[in-house]
Amino acid sequence: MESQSYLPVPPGVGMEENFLSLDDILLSHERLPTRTECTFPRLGFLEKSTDSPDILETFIGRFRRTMDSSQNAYNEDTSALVEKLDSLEKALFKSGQSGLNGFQSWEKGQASQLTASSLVLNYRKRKINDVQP
Amino acid sequence: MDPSEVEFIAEKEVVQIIPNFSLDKIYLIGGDLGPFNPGLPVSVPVWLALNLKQRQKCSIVPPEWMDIDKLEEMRELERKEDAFTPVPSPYYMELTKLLLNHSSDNIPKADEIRTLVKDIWDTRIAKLRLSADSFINQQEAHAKLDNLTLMEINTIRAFLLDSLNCMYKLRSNLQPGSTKGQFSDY
Amino acid sequence: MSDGLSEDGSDINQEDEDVMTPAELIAKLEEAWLNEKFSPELLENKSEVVECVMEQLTHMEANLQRVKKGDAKASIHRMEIDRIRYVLSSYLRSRLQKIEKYFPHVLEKEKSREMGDASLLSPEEFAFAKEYYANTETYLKAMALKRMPPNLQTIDMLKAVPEPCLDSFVFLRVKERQENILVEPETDDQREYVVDLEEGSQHLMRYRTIAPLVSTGAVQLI
Repeated sequence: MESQSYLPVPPGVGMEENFLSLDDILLSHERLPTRTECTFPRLGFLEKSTDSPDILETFIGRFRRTMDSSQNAYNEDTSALVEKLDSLEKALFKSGQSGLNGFQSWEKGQASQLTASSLVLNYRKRKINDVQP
Repeated sequence: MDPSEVEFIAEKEVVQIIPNFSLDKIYLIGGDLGPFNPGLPVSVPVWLALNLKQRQKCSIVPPEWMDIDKLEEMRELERKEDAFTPVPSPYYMELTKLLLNHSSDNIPKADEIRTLVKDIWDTRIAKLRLSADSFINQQEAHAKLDNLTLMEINTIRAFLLDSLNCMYKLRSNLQPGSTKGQFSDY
Repeated sequence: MSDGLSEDGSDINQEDEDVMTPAELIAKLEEAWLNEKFSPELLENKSEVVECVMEQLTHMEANLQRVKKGDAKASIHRMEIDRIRYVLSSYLRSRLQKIEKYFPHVLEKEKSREMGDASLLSPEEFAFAKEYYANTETYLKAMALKRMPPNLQTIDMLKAVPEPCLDSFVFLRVKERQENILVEPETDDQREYVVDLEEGSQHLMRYRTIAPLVSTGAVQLI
């Protein structure tokens, strides 16, 4: 898990909605363009002419390793691999893994099953709790 | 794209079946099929072949390339060449999986075929990673990808496109936090 | 069962000079589906294709109504219908997803369209986009903006919602040979150069470079 720079905002109590809570936003009946972000390296302060080419070179130099580690890890515990990556590379590691896992589960004939997310299941519980005194 | 969608596209490929029933010509929206006569080979899309096979209404004739000698030759060539060699079918991986899983009794030496195709796949994926790495390293703006199949592209798509977008961001120094350009397919 | 398709095939796509067979129509739908799936921006709507496919499906389903249960042919027809329906809904769904993601830009583009230019959105999609915009605005106002200091109570949607990134790379297959496609350099010490795109060849390059070729159908995104 990557360290979170912000504490997640908990959902509102009972029928209340907390508009800064991801759970509440997702459960809202209106469709909204919400997006969740992971931290992108804060490069805003870097002068384009001086430092950023180095970062690009570093990225390129590490690319093969990022790719190989993400595409070779067959359902293993990947925490040790991810540890050494920066947050941008972690995001890439994730997309590499999703490509690999998608292919592998297809290959094994595990048909993709649609299941209700834990959010929806919890929502049902919350609804029941709301009704109870 | 989900691999099952790639498989869905592959199911449009045509194979020969030998039916054990008779039925007149069928006029499908996508074209005419049949007529079907017991014992007479007829061409149908894979989705129909698999359905009939599951209902024990036909046997499936494996495609010509699904043959140990041919695949061995292909594997050697694939290992020898640096470039991607032409594949016998743009859906060789999907067809191998589909036909071997549902119709292995019609395919001689099914297990060996499975291994050979997997070897070919692994060699090609290793090449694909090598070319992806050099594409990134050279900071190329264009690559020719002849002979790559949709399933192969699909395993590396999100990773490669996200990486290229990251580089674009690093290069153009876009505002941090912008999700502009993150890859997603729709 | 009786098949009315052969006599029906001639009345589809009346706008076009050449007659499209139902099989060609399905191929057009599948092309549009993959292009829409992989292009970073919303493409022109293919309402005529969608309508013709719907017509075909309705027609076929009406025919199937008259068939006895357990008819061998009917089950095959149903399977085909299901497959076509999957492509059709997946196509429409990817368009809706893009409209939701880029709605202010989509509406802006539609507004600035010249008279006579092809419309980006179908009438239904246009209504959806407008409603989506209004709902989002109302929600933002009710939930957040009205609690803000007065000088922070307005929001410019065009700036708040990210634009599609046309500089994304795409994979493509060439359907009609193209000459002298300009490839722009990635770094300062590279030079621009041109490539020829041979029919049947496959490429990885920036969407921006080949976007016009996607809309003319000269290349297919894969």
